[in-house]
Amino acid sequence: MDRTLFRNDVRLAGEWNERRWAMVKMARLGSAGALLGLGLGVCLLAQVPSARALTTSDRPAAILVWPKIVVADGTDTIIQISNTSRTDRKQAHCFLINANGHCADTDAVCSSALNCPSRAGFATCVPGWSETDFDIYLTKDQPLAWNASAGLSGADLPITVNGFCDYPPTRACTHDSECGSKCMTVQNNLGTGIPPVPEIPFVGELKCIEFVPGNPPVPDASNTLLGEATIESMTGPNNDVPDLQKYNAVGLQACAAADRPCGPNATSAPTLPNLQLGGDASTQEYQGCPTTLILNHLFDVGRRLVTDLTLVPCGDDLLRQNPGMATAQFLVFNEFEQRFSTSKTVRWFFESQLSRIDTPDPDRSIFSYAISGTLAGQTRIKPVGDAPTGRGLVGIARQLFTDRGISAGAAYELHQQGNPTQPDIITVP
Amino acid sequence: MRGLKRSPWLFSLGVLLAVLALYRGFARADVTSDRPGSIVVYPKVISDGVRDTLIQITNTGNMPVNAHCFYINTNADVPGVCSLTFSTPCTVDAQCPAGETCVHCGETDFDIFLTSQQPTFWGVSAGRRVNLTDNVRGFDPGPIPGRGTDFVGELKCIATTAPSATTPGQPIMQNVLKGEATIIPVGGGADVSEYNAFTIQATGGATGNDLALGTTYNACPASLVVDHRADGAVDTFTGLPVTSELTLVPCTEDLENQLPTRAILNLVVVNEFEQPLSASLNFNCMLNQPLSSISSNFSRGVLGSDFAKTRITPSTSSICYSGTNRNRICSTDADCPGFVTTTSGTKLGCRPVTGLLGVIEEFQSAKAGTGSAAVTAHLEGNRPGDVIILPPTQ
Repeated sequence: MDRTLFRNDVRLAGEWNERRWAMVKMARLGSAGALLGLGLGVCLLAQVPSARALTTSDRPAAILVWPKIVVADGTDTIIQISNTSRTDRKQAHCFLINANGHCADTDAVCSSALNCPSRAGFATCVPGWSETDFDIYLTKDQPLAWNASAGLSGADLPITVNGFCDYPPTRACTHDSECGSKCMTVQNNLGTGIPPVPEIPFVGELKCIEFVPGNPPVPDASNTLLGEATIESMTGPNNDVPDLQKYNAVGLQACAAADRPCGPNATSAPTLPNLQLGGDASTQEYQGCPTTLILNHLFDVGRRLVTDLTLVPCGDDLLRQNPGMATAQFLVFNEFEQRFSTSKTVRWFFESQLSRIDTPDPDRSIFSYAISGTLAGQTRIKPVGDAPTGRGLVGIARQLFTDRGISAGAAYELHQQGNPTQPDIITVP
Repeated sequence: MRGLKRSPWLFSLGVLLAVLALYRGFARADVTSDRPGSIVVYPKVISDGVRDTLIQITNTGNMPVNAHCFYINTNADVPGVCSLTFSTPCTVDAQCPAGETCVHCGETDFDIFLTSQQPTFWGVSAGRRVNLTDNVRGFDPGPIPGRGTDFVGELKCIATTAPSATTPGQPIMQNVLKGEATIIPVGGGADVSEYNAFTIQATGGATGNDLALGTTYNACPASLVVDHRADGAVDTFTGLPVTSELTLVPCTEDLENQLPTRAILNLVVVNEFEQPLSASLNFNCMLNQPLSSISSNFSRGVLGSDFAKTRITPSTSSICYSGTNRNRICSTDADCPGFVTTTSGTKLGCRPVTGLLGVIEEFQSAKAGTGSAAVTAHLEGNRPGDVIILPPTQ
């Protein structure tokens, strides 16, 4: 073998002999093997998906987040929630968060100062955040739905009886004394009272946390809730064409569930008032929010094609009415692999057409087709910040098309990557 | 020896990292629709002259990625095979022996290449040509065949090594692909449905051409759950009747021998009064049907409430995937005489009934137009045993 192949033709002490050469070869091969092993390990570590410790939009969970609920003239949101437990009644304690801004002088709902004309020009549009909480009780395997504009309570609930008599069997009852012999209790929706949105127009978020019904209720780690929302509107020149935009709610699974969704080391059962999402495995109670959200989209083309993005913080202090906050850094790639970036602060609720994120003039935006140069784009959204509630974000996107006077669209969920090291905290009253 | 003495920690660290990586990969093994993977599955792809589908796929990694993609067309125009005597070609049911149907399940494959972080798109009807001077700007991902207006089926893309001029690439673990499908009207209008593609992450280990879901790739779910309206329920906001279309595709697919997979499943639909109704169903290759065509149990009249939840569970039985008893219930390979063994050595004898992935799309129709919305089904648990068999590389 040509020893110069290893670039080891420098004389060491003494003369070369075959044994020494064999030793050197073994040493080098050993080092090469070690480096190979290290490289293999690093490569595999980089490639293999981490334990599923992130939010989910396709699995039943213990916390559900509907990032966008809209009610307006001609628009309503149908909210669906289901219990996937085949045996147990479940309680969902929900927080409807009103993110409407209001004009400083008239208290009218606004999204910017332009909605607040006054004698002196324009009054300030004061951003708002207020929550209303309520309970939903779901029987085993039960689906439930309501219009956000109307809520659901009282006689409109599907099952409002405590039980049925053994005889006569069709008689509803509460006590044995009302029956021939026995009142057989059934799982029911009693205790459910879903209020309508507090004002119209309304834009905001809904968060529901799973509890074991009882007094006091205890956070439930069985991960049996799933949800969807459909934003419905009538569109077209005569408002006679339906537009449906449906998305799956974002779910956060409790770590203490039997299948250990946060990994084998995260086993903490959730305790009130602070629910910890992600972070250190020894204290983590729920899956964490991702370090990066990934949005596939088409770049905005004038008014014909736009993408609308909604982001909400994972953590909220619902006890002290102190909503979460983070800065979203947007890294945008076009089909030429060219990068653009911008950032925006997310204060409790963020919604924007993509091409208005970085500029008020959509034609000058890095999210516009004219600037990006290609139609398809990938935007990576990385939340940063140091708010006490954490910095995680979740969201949904809507792709909106306008053709022949009809504006309609479709909603879809964001993809996600990366386990957070810093936890998000939901503080529950 | 000095080198071995000097660097055992380095070697150990490498081995530890490798073990840790594999351990982490096996920690949870589920198909998802919200994170990148090595296999991307679009269960519902339509290009039928009335609607077209816009496919978006993105490389979320910093290394370039190749992918081998398969269109699976179930349109009746595609030459088919009889459901049991699968070697008999057919175009209509009448050409098959009594009791059999003609199954249309034609496959077309192609390669794409994405640079780091590159997003791309194409329309299913037209495909996308490699032409840097056309008006579709961006790095073309490769020649993507147009499917015209006779396509109703599925699209599956698998991360591979770079293909050569004569052979396709080998499947590799590169969990960086994600995708969406947008179903759009052809003749204008703004009625669109969009859903996230399912992704299946590779977990490590040699894959060969037979991709074992639950071993070298994540497993398919044990059941699917969809929340939906009762068929014919009237929407309280729009005042329009609602219908839904369920699309299911099998997790197990034999793309080498082109044998359509038979799925056997059970549906349990629960209304708002917690009353369960059930139906069983089987199909070959793909199911794309209105709920009311699947079972009358989905109708508003039978269900008695406007909303329902349906759990879709594949049968726990095993069936012969090939041989003279193809598609019949079996307990061992001996029950499937003449079964096929793939080039990579997987026996297509007696295997578990396939797992499923699916999408549900809701429609509301008014005189002036239709509104629609699609979402992916929710997933429960996982089940090993599915396999995707790719054509051999030689």
